[in-house]
Amino acid sequence: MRKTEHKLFWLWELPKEEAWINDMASHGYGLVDVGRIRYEFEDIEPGKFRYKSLFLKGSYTSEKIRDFIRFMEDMGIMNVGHVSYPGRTCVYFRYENTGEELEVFSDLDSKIEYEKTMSSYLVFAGILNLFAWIYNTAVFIMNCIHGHPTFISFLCIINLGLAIAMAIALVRINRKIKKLTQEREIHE
Amino acid sequence: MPQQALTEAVFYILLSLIEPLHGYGIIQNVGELSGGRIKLAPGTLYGALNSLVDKGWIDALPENPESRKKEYVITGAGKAVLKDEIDRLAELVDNGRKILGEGLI
Repeated sequence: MRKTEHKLFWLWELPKEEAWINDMASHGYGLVDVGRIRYEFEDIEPGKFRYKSLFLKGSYTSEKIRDFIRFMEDMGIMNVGHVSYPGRTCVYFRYENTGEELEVFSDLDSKIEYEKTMSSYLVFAGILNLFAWIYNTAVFIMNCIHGHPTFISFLCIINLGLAIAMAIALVRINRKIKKLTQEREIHE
Repeated sequence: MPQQALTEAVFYILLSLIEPLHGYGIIQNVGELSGGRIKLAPGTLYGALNSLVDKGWIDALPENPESRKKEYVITGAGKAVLKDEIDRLAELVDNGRKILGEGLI
């Protein structure tokens, strides 16, 4: 039986989202399709599969991502859905649960490269958010001067909230990258 | 310019591709060769294979219609790199043994 859930995870909450999807799988609901806030599940044997989401450079239809998905599927790691972002795609994979979590990257260089995919995107989103905040604040001030404060003030608060959340996420990812880079100076 | 050190993963991937192999076969072979010490992850392997194809050290074989799995094989240039790396590793081991003495190793 199919079951649809709606849930909001911010982009920087991918590990939290993945943990939730895996928790659903352990209760017998296997992810079969995904949208930005929509998750479609189907009945599965509880714990039979585990899920992995990867945030990758490129569009879903690009040769690079199609080729990577085919490579993963050759290994029995099946693509169950994706969510597109400008210039990036979050791809969701399903694999047989052998008790071990799937490590997609095993060396420090590829781990660093992967973390940078998310950090560079957060910087890009942060700059867009900053412009939106400046614009919304300017409109808010103009409206106040003319005596018509509107809902735009809420947008300013949302921009500010997003900026703080993105900054925290970015600091965390950069800390991770720094740690991996230090490790890379000694080990492969 | 002397050849830069290869990563363990690249060394074992090249060594695995003396015979044509697909991605999953490479992971299994590297695991066996290293006695289970190296667990090559698919994302790392995928990136390494693409870089090695770009460098001309391995070739992607024309697709076999019976098996949709893509296979790769080492090239002459790849074998030369592998040989240089073996010489480099031998130098490290030789020097280590000379200085520390056989008894300490």
